[in-house]
Amino acid sequence: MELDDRVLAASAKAGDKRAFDELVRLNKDKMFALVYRMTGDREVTLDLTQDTFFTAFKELANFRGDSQFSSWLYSIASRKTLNFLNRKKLLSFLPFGEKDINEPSYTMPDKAESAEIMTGIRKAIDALPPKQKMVFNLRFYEKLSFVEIAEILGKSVSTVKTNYQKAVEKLQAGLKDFR
Amino acid sequence: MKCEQFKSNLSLRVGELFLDDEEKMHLNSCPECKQYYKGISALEENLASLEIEPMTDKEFTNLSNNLDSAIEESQSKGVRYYNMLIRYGASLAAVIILLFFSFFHGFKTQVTKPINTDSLLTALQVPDTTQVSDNEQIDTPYVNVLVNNYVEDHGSSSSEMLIGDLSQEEMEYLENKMKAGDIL
Repeated sequence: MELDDRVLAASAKAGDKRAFDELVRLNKDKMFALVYRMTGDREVTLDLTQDTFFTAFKELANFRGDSQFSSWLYSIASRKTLNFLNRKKLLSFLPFGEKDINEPSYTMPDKAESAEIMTGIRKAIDALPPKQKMVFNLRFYEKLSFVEIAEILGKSVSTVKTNYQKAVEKLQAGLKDFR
Repeated sequence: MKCEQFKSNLSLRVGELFLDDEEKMHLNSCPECKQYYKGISALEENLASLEIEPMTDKEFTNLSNNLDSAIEESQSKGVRYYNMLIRYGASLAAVIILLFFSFFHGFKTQVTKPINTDSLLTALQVPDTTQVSDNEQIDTPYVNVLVNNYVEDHGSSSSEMLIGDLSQEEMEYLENKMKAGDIL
C-alpha cells in the first residue's frame, strides 16, 4: 500500500489526474473519519475533506515522497480541522457566533456496557481540547505511531505522548463518572 | 516496578494494550494497578466500540464531483492567466524596454554627452572659437552674407547691429569677427 501510494503520488505529480483520483479513493475514509471525529458535523466534515484533497492537488509539487502520502494528507486535514475548530471557538465568544457543540453520530455498539457509559465517554471525548483530541484520534482510531503523529502535527514525540496520556486520563475520569 | 511507571506505560498503550513480563509480575502483586488495568481495558473496549458512520457512496460521488469542478476551475484560471501573460506579456515587455532605453538615452544626451564644439565648427567651416551647442547650427553662408552686407552698407566700426533674426551664437560669431578685426 505504501509503495502504491508513492507510485500514485509520483504519477499524480507528473500530471496524471487518474492517479490522483485513485489516491482520493484510497484515502477518503481515513480523512473523513478523522475530521468527523473532530468536528462532529457531517456537512462540515465533507467540506473539510474536499478542501483537504483540493489543497493536496494544488500542493502536490511540495510532496517530497519521504513519508507516506496518507501522512501528508493527515497533516493537511489536521491543520484545516484545527483551524476550523479554533475559528469556531473564537466565533462562539461573539454574540452572533454559534454556540452549539456538535457530536459525531456514532453507530450504536452491541458490546457497550450501557448507554450511560457510552454517553459519558462521548462527552469526555467532546470535552477534550482540540489538540489532545487530535492526538488521541490519530493514535487510537487511525492507529498511527507517536513518531508519525509528531511529524504530522509538527510537534515533538514527547509532547505528543504527554497529550495522549492526558487525553486518556480525562477519558478515564469521564468513564468513572458513569460507573 | 513502581505503580506510577506501570500506569504511565499502560496509558500510552491504550489502543494496543499489552503487558510485558515485568508488568505482568507487578500486576499480580499490586491490587491498585490491577484495578487500574481493568479500568483501562474497559475504556479501550468502549472507545473501540464508538464507530462512526463512514462516508456514503452518494456523499463520495458529490465530493468527487465538487473536487473535480474545483480543480477544473483552478486549472482554467491558471490557463487564463497564462494566456493573458502570453498575449500581453510581450507588448508589456516591449513598452518597458522602450521606456528604459529612452530614459537612459535622453539622460545620457543631456547630462553625460559632452558637446563637441570643435568638430562642429570644423564641419561648419567656422575658423574661430565660437561656442555653440549641438542642437543649434550656425548658418555660416547666411552669416557671411550678413557680414558682407553690413560692411558694405555701413563701413563703419559701429557696434550696433540690426540683425533681428540672428541667434545668440550668430551674434557672438559676429562680435568675435569684429573683435578680430575682420569687420571694421
